[in-house]
Amino acid sequence: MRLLSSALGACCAWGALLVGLMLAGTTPAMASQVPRISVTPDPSAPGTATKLQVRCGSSATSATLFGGVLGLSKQIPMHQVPVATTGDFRVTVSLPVNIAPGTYRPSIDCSNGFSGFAVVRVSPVPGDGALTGDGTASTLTGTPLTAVGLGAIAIGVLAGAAALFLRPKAGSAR
Amino acid sequence: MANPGVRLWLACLSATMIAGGAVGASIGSHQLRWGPPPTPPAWASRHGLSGKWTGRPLARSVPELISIPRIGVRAKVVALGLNPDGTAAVPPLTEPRLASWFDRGPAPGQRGTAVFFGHVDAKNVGPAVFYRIGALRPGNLIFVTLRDREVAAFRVYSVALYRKSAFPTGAVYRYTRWPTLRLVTCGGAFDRRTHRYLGNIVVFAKFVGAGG
Repeated sequence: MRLLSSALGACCAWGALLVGLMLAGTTPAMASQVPRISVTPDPSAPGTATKLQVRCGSSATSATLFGGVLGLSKQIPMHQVPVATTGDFRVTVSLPVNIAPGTYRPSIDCSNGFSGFAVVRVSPVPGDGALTGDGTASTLTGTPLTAVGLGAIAIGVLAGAAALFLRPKAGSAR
Repeated sequence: MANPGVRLWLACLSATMIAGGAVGASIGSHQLRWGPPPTPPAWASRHGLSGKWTGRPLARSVPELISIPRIGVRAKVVALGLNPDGTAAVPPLTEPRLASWFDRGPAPGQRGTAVFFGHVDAKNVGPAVFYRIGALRPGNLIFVTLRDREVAAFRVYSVALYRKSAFPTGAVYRYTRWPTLRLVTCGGAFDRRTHRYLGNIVVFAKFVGAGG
């Protein structure tokens, strides 16, 4: 009886270990079904070109971007990156000019079952003209002529002083 | 002791220099040291984006240097985004020789519109990096050196002055199928009360090719 219970216990332990190993083994596999997705530029601006790239894995033959949340076509086929052997697909879309600033999460499906969400952050474009100057060139007066004039005055004063200094003193004419 | 002729000559010189100097200093002190930045004529803005597009757009690479031979500009570029109030961030006035690139949009040579800002003038230096962009005309060339060492060339097709209150956000930032470039600075009349220029000068250019 004791032998039977210890055998049962060992069996349970092995079973638990086996299940644990299986779970441990499957978790990364599950995670790997979420493809790596990049968005460039990040953030993007309304009306500009934005590139989305996904790494589906070598078993994928196609990928689709679901652009409805961005105000684009519902299904946008992505193009396979010719040189990549990792199942990379990419597409460049033009964000609508009237898209509101914020974060959008369009989904991307790969043909091998992988699926994920791209994070497209849309920043506002400047709504106004830039402030690029302080008016120095349009307001500051004083050309080099000012310095030349002041220099001339200084020379004039010196010449006048010299003329006064050279004036004959009273009585020296006698 | 002294020659009377010499004294007379000195007296005449003194009077002439003082009078002439006073007139010169007075005129000079009332004149603008540099003058308002040049503004483009109306005809310079009548050209649209046209012509046959050849070549291929570039990969995204951060711009590092902008060169505009026609007006003697050769400036470093910094990447900037937006101010908290939603206006375009520009280099500080203490760095008037820098240009900035709006890094929320395309890079030069990518499809779409790459936008650059630069000061028109600044205290201590007077004319700043984009002081003379209003003197650009259709046909002039702009070169942008990118971090990947590519040099993207753009040809100006329009130069225009806009009131700040009617800044053409759509025309400046809108997506273009071919890579284009915009240079933006202040211009037009200067409001001494608000200490701001009332307008913006915008240069529109299109990508014409790249070299290493």
